[in-house]
Amino acid sequence: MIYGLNQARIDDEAFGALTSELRVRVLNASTTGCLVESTRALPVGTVAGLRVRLLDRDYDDEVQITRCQELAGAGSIFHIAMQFLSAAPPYAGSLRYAIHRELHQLAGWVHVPDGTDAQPTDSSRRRTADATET
Amino acid sequence: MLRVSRDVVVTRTTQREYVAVSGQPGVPGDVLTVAFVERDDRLSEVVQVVASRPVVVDGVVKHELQLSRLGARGSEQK
Repeated sequence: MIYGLNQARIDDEAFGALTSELRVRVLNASTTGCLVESTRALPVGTVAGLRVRLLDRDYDDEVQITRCQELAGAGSIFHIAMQFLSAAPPYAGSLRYAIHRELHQLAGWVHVPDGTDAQPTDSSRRRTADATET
Repeated sequence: MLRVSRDVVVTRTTQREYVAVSGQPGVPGDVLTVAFVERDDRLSEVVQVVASRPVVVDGVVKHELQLSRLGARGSEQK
């Protein structure tokens, strides 16, 4: 049997993945997604793995880019919004779990001492994860 | 750190280089990680983009990335 050049080439080929790592700064985070700052734009719809160091521990999760906007007048700085993908349940090392736990621990009503006119506020609504550079 | 992956078809051209065919172009100088399966081993290697040029594969425009090997990151039994 005679094999052509094309056949020989196919035998040498391997299906794989090419991965790039991009340093980002987390500006804001919630239980549904994150806003990060980056020096490179990413197309909307891109699925990526986000790893963030919080309180000396690494957390990661899968995210999908929902918005990418260049900061006007700031050079090559982009704000990238992303939402968490729920392809797997949250686990102890997942970012979703960490943020949810952080918010849950601090959630609740702040009771105002008697005799003042101020209204009680929900502290969880003002709480966001610490901005962290990874 | 944000890790973005794309599927590619990898060919080892020389001992020091790979060629990957991808749907997106590469940026010369970028350091990436290429991972693929070879003889039931999952290989992962750090590479640098040397050149990127458009090619037509089955009537579709793709990009051929010339990758220089910087070092093996490790292998893993499947």
